[in-house]
Amino acid sequence: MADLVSIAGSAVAAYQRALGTVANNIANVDSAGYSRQEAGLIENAPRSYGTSYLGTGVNVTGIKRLYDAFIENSLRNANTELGTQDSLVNYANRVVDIMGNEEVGLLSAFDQFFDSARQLATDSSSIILRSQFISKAEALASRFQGLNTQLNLVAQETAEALKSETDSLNSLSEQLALVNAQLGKTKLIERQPPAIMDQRDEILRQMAALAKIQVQERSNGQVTVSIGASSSRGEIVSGDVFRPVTAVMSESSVGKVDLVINAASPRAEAVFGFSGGSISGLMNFRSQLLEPSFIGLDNLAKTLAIEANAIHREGIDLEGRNGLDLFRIDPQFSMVSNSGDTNVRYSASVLDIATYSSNKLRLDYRANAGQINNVVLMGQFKVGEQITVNLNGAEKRLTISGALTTGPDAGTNLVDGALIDLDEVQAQLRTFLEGGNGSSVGGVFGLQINVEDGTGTDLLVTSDLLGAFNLKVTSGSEGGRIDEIMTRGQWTLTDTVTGATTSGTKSVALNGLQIDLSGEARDGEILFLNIANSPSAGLRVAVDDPSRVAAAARFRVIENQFNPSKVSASLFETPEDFSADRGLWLDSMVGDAPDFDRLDNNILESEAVRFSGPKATPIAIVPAGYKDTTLYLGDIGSQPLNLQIMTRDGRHLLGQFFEPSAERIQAERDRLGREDLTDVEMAALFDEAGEEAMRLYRLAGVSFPAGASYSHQYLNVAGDDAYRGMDLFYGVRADVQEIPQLTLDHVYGAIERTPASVTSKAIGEITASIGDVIYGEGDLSLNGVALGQLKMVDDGAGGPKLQLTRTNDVGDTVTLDLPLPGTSMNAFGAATNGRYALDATHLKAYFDAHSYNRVLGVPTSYGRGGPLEEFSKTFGVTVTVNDYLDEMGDAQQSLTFARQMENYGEQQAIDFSTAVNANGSITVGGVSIPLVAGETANQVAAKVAAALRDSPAFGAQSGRSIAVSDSRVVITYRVDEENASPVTATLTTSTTPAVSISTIRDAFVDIPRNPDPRDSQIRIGLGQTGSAAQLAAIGFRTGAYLVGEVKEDLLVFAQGESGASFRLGATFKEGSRDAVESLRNEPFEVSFTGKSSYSIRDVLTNTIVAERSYDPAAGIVYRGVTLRLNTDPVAGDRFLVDGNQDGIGNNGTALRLGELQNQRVVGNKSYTLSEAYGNLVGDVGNAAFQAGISKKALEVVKDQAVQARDKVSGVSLDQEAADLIRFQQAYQASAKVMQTSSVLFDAILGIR
Amino acid sequence: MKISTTYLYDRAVNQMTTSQSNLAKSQAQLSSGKNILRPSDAPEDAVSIQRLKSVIARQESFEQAIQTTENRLKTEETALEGVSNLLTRLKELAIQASNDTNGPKDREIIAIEMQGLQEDLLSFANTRDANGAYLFSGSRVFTPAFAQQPDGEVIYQGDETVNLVDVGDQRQLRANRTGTQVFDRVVRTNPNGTQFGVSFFQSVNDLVAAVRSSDRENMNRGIAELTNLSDSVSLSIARVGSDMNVVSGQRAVLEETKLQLQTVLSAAEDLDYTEAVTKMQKQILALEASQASFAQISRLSLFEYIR
Repeated sequence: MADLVSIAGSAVAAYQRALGTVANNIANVDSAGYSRQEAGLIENAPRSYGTSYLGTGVNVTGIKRLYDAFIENSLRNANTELGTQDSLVNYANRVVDIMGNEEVGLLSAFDQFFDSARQLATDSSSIILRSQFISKAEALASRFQGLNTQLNLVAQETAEALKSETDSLNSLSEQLALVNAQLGKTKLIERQPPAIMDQRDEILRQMAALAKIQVQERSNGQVTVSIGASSSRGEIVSGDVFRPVTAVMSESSVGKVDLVINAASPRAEAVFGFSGGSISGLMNFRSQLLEPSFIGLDNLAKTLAIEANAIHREGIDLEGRNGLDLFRIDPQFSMVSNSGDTNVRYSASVLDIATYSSNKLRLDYRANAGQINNVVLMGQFKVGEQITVNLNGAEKRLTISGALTTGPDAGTNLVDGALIDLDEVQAQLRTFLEGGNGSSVGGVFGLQINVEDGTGTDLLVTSDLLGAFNLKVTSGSEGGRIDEIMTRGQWTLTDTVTGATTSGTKSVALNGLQIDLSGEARDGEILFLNIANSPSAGLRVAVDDPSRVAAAARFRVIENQFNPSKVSASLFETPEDFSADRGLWLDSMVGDAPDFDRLDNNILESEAVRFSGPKATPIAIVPAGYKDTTLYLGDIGSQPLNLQIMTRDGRHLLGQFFEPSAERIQAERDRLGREDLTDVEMAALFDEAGEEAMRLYRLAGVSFPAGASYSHQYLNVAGDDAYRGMDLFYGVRADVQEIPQLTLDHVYGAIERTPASVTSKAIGEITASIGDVIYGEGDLSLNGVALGQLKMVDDGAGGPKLQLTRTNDVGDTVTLDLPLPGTSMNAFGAATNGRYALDATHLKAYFDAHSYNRVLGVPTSYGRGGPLEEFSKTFGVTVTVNDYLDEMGDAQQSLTFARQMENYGEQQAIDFSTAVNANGSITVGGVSIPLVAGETANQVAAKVAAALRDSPAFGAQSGRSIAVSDSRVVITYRVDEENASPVTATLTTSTTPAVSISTIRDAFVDIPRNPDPRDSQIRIGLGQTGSAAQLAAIGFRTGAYLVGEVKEDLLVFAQGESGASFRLGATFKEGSRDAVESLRNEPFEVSFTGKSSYSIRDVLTNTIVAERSYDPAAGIVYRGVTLRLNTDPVAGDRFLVDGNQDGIGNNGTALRLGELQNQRVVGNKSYTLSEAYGNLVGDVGNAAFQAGISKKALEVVKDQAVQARDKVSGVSLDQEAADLIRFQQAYQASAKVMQTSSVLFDAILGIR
Repeated sequence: MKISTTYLYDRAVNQMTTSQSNLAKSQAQLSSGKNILRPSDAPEDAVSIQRLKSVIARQESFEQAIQTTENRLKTEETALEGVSNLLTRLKELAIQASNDTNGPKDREIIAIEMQGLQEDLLSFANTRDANGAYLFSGSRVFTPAFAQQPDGEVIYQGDETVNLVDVGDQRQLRANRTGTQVFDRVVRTNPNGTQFGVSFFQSVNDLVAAVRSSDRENMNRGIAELTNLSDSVSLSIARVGSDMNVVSGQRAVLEETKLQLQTVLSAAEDLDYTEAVTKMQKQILALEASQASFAQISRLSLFEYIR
């Protein structure tokens, strides 16, 4: 009986619990994360009665939480996936709505901008249309800024969202850590309170929506949570410890966000391979959509600015000025110093939009690394006053010269004491500091210092070599003052992203950006510059004055109004590209061709570039803009080799006529039936040979323009008829040297003019047979006058002699024998196979004996006076004859030295070397002067001078003076003795072996009566048939002299026999010339000489720069412009192309700006600006659209996961109702059992 | 399969929210008349709509350029017709003067009138447009095209620039004719047979001088040249006329293009009301159905029956 009660009792208790569970389920039907609970009922252990077992009731094993770990996990995953897409979709749609909006987006702004350019083209002189154009450009720029601002807002919002999401994650981690702590109190998961387990799972679900988490469960239900690719790293919750996650935004890139665990602690850990969840969605949005949008927008802004600026700069504004940039980019900075506050001020401007980037910059200052000295000139200086310059202790003085080099009065010479402009003083000081040779090495101190003109009359002096230096510039003037401001220190600018660096003293430039710095910086100071805006935000319109809108084209064509045809011409700019030739420029001849060494301001023959064999391609190119260029041809021996310099249009400017072949000449002779060809007939042959040469050059790859023809019209022509007024010469040239006087001797003579002089080098051995011509008549010329022939002939006594022959101006042939006085056959050496070796000694003797001009072959039959006088009158030159007696070291033989002297202006010096040690004699005019051993050179000189003075034929002549100076006898003759009869004096020396007359040098003819320095040049040139080898035969090195600026590219060829080898040296000053800009100031005229041939004439210099055949398909292409004719021209048609200096009604540039709308300029020239923007919007839109679709799909997945979980853990009220009834009935039944047992008990008790 | 009570309610609410937001969107479409409310609804379509609008805007800007060009052509035509009339009168006078019945005095009188006509010609040649720019000066628009020198010679001061104006994506029009094109030169032959050009005004001047000096030979030459001059002016008038034809033709092309583009734009951008209204009816029905069914379902609970 009792067992019945106990069974029922256990059941009542059990069902009460079960009902409690149901009640709890019903109560928690809406609780988040609640898992349905079930009371576990189990039969109590039966009791055995003999062989049978009796049940003992029911027992509650525990309250079971309905839970499926696998389902829970997939629900978490679904949460993660959905979270990822959700945030992506939200923000991507925001961006699409901003960029695709008609009022905010760029498309309509582009339309309006280009439309305004087209309207401007309909009436380009209208100020109203110009203003409209500017305002539309401004509207476009501000649209860019607006978009940038909007995108920045999205960037900020997502940054805040990231922060708040990570905060949520951290707060969940913290809660989870607390839950873990609770769970830690129990060892078995079964014993864990279900509420806490539910709480744990709910937290995990929420975490999963934020980030993809890896969960590891311990046996007691505690979990370890990690984020990132590997579960062993990136733990954020472990046991009761949680580690906070921080999102770190990169300053340099919107798309770069790093997740860092425990950011504040020293053991901070970066998360790798993080993905999934709304945090990752935000990060993906920033890196995959927002950053590309920013980059795309910036790229568009840059492209717009670059392209529109390029067109606008090629235009002309209303006042005929060159167009400026239409757009600019204004950077905005924020600066942080490593030392808190700073005294440094800075300003920045974008120099080059294409390379501009908004990377963060770092500036390092070092006080002792560099220096800039600002030398400021003030007050009033006078000509002749001095300025003292002290550099690191060395002192030099500048005497202010009166020869003006700058300003409108350049070229005039002021007298001492005259007032002089500060600009001029500044220029002179600059030249002085630089050493007169630009900023190249050297300078007056022999140190390289860089000098730049400052803002006013000041100079900025820096030194790359010295870094810091000590410069003191003091004024020795009464009225002129000089102040110096020294700025020490050097800034180094570093791009923190790319690592590129640059340095400077007051301004530094990097990433297309120039930063000017001022103010006192501390040594070691570091500044960080954050560029606060990207290019699209900084885009501004740079033109605000409507008249500065460059609507007109740079060039125009004007048809001559008397053209016989009705053809009309149109013009296009087609920039030339000769970049392929860059390697041949004088400054960069390195690399490619194996023979090429470096040809860089190198005049030493031994170091010059060696070429082997003539080239059919240019061996060098002298680019337009180079100044004072000289090319030297060296080491050619007797090879018939010449430099040929041509323009790109086949104008042969310098060098030697291309030789027609002997067969061709003979054919022409045969055709004409006579031997002698006239000059005209020869010229035709030369032209033919030139055309042939051009044909060969073309075959070798020289790109002469199509139809270009050869011309020797300007070959070696100097003066007014020279090619484009350039000063060009081929041969040997020397100029009067004008050297400013910088002496301290208080002689304020502004400029000392040293006469031009050329000095031949030591002549090597010339081997010639009797009858050999060393140079023929007309092969060489001196200052334009053809020289006679020099030939080795038989002297009648079986020996050789040299003979000069020249046909004079009346047609007589004059012959001048040049015997070798006092020499025998031996002096020539023995004849070998009938050839005589003429060595330096002997040729020098000729030079000395017969004067230079005679050796060269200038005739003596030119009227009054002797040859030298005629020489001077004809040529107006100064010639220095170098005497080679010093090479006669072996004084075993006696030498008779004779000189003809006549009464023209001459100064001659006889140099005696060291003491004379032996007995001997010198014969002067027949009087022998004995020499005594032990005499000094000076004593010998004095004796000779005295003897000369005493000589009646020599010394007694008026106007002569004989003086002794520094062991030299100096003999000077007056120039005004017009009628004095020629006097002959013979100076004979006879020495014993120990006595030598070492040198006789510096004999020169000085003709001061010709003041024009141009006429005092020496120019030994080549005639029609001469070659560099002939100049080499008499000791001269042939050069191509390009004085002043080279106006167009010149091609230098080497012409000679194959296998020849030679050296090429060059001196030059680098420079450049803007082809288009120079063309604007140099109008040219195209004249049709026939239906299909035309010539191009440079109008300023009246030079025919090209003669070509006409190809209607190609048009006329010259120096970057192309001229097209609408129909066939006829002979006599002329078209002038000029720089459109006053064509304000021209609309060429406005049209081009309008046409930019349809040009593919973005992304490797594949999209127009509008298309590129459309693509940008489309890309973001597509991404958003895709994300939207996958979001929908994932919602279904999540739905299913929720449903699956609900199937297990969800509370259904119907189920609970059923359970409620079930347990209620069981409870009631058990209660009935108890009641029944009580009745039974009572029944038993009631038995009496 | 068990459906939890929370899930049942949540799903019903979700479905109703979705229906409601669809309905709201349809309503917004109907009230705005646009197919695409926000670019994010259909990014590709939104971009192509904007592209279409951009092309239409370009056609409109071409139309504007055409209008400007046409105004200019009209001004030129007026000036040229004036010139043509003057030349006709000049020719009459010259023929009259060449009549042998005229004595030197008569010719002097005729010459004076011809001189006046020459000056009128000059003023026509220096016609300006509404902005004060000289029509026939090429791009030197602020310089009179022709200027009479003290010695009577008339020189051309303009240049030969012919501005082109974009009047279509592939079509450019000449915006101006230069003085030398309109007032064309005549060609004379030297005694040695070579030819040379003589300017328009020089030819007229020579004729006036010939009349004044009764130079019969030059008068005849001048009359012959006048015919050439008239011809060249007539040719210019014809060119202006043909340009005006081109202008009107191009305008028609542009309008046609614009119409087509607007049709395409309308198809892409504008709402199809019939379809939209039908769609909204469906959506309303769906919403009502889900509301009604939810009301029904929510009453179904076992607890309702446990009493």
